[in-house]
Amino acid sequence: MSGIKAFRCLNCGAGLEFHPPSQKWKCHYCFSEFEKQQLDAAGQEAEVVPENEATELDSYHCQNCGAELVTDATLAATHCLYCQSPTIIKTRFAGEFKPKSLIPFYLTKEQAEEIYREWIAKKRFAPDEFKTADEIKKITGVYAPFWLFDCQVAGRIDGEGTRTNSYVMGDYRVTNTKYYQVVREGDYRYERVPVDASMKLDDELMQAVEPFDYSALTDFSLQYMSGFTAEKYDKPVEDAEKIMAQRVESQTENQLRREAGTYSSFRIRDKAFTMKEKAHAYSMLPVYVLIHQYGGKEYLFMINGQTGKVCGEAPVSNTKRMTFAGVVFAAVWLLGVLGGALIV
Amino acid sequence: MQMLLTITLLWLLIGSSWAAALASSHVVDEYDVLSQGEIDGLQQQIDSLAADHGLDVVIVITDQVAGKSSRDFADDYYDYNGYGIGPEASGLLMLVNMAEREVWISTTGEAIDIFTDQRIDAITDAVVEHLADGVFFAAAQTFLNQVDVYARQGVPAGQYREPETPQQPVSFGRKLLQMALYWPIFVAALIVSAVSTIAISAGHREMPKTSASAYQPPSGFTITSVQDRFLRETTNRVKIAPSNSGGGSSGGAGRSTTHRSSSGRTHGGGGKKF
Repeated sequence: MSGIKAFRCLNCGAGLEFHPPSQKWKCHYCFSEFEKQQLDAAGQEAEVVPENEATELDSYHCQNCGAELVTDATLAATHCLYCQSPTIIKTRFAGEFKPKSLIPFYLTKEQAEEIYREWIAKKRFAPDEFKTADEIKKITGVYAPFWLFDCQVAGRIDGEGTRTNSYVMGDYRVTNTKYYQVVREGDYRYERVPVDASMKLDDELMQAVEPFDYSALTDFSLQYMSGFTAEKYDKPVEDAEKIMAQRVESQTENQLRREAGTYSSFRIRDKAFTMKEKAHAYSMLPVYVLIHQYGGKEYLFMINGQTGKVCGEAPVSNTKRMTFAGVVFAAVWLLGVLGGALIV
Repeated sequence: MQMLLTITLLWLLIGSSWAAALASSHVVDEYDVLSQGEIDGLQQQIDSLAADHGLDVVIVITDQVAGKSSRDFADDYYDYNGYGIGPEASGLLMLVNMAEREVWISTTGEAIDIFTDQRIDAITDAVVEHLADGVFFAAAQTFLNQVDVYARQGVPAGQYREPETPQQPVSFGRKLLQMALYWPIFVAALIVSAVSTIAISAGHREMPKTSASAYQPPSGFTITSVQDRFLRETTNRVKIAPSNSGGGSSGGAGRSTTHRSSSGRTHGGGGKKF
């Protein structure tokens, strides 16, 4: 329990929780607020907290789907985030948990719940069971693991461009086409390209929730974890790098294409990319996640915990959809029949 | 004796002028715009039309239509005065209705088939030109000339009769049933329903895309090589096909619209105001 002392209120000793809107730590009992520097200073006086020892973290392991979530002692998890199974086992987290940096949460859980409530309310065909207060409360704030890549891409495209000119002369339409060999080479720098490092979190969704404002990126500290869960990375850097390479190469190609300029048509024959000056950092980025199971399929909903950007898919109840279609059809048909009889 | 001769001659003269007047039974000028000479000339033309084409042609100029429509007046005048040649009572009557300033041509028997809606339209156009100027003799002559021209051409290819559908008041209940069975409404409702449902279903998935350009620092790129090398040139000439002259008659060109007059007989025809 020695580590937990670092997270205690300096005035009354109760547990502190990270408060996203103010980016400070709040005490629920005496309503004191503390900034990070104050806590760090106090912590260094009272205890030498070995931050490398992750003894103050709990690990929740799901027996159903194998997911592992890490939290600090302030959060008690009852269901697995991913499969909603209650068969989760809590143990002391053993092992390394040393991300380089993180972006703290700016949205509170209440705000996230409100955003979700509004979002799902607008989805007409979503089954009612996903709109209940109980469902909404299940939304969880998770620090998602990311690999942030820096790199320099040297790209080269080699293709054929045409310039066409068409005009009418007498009885003929004359089309004049000039063919060119077009080569463009460029060096592009990319910084902090995020690739999600969790096998469990859907890649497409994680991309949809981008971008994050990296100006808020700060050194990792366990203190930010209070009140939230985190997921440890399980995607190796090499795999993540491949995904990143594909993304930046595609972007480089697009930009080189744009540099090709004004041709009536342009077709690439050859392209080559070299990546240099690669660097990567393990970072935690804040997201609110809610996962539903419906009809044997998984539906994810995500909110960017810093910017509030929303993305996700809501399930569609076929009964609701068919009822709607039927009602609209009947209404329009009746309107047409009555209207027609009155006009004709 | 000389007295008797003079009286007989006078009587014969008067009688023959009456007869002459009666012989112009096919040109009825109650509006008094035609001279006797003009009437005689028209009558001669009418007689030759009867002989050449078997069509009884009548011209009536009047303002006393007793509230009837031009169509009804023309039809009735033709029927009740016993005009018409042959078993079908074939012929035409042109009515110049000075009360409404309207001209109407009524056709009967074979004339219905020879004089399609389109042809009648052409004739009335030509006639109205003169009537607008108040030149009645020329109008009448034009009419007779046109009759001759078309009568020589005969019934055009693709001609058909289209009876007018009488306007019956239909009950609301019956109209409702008609609309209910009208399939385009069914299809329209289906389309609206399908489109709206698909649109709402699609809205259930929100997956915005983020471009990797967000991770490119503003000054982070340099173009290191630009090459545009001219390879070759081709020129293609294609002859522009001359556009086909449009045309071809529309489907309604051979139509003769018919209706029943008060006598029960079928008539064709048409008219316009001048």
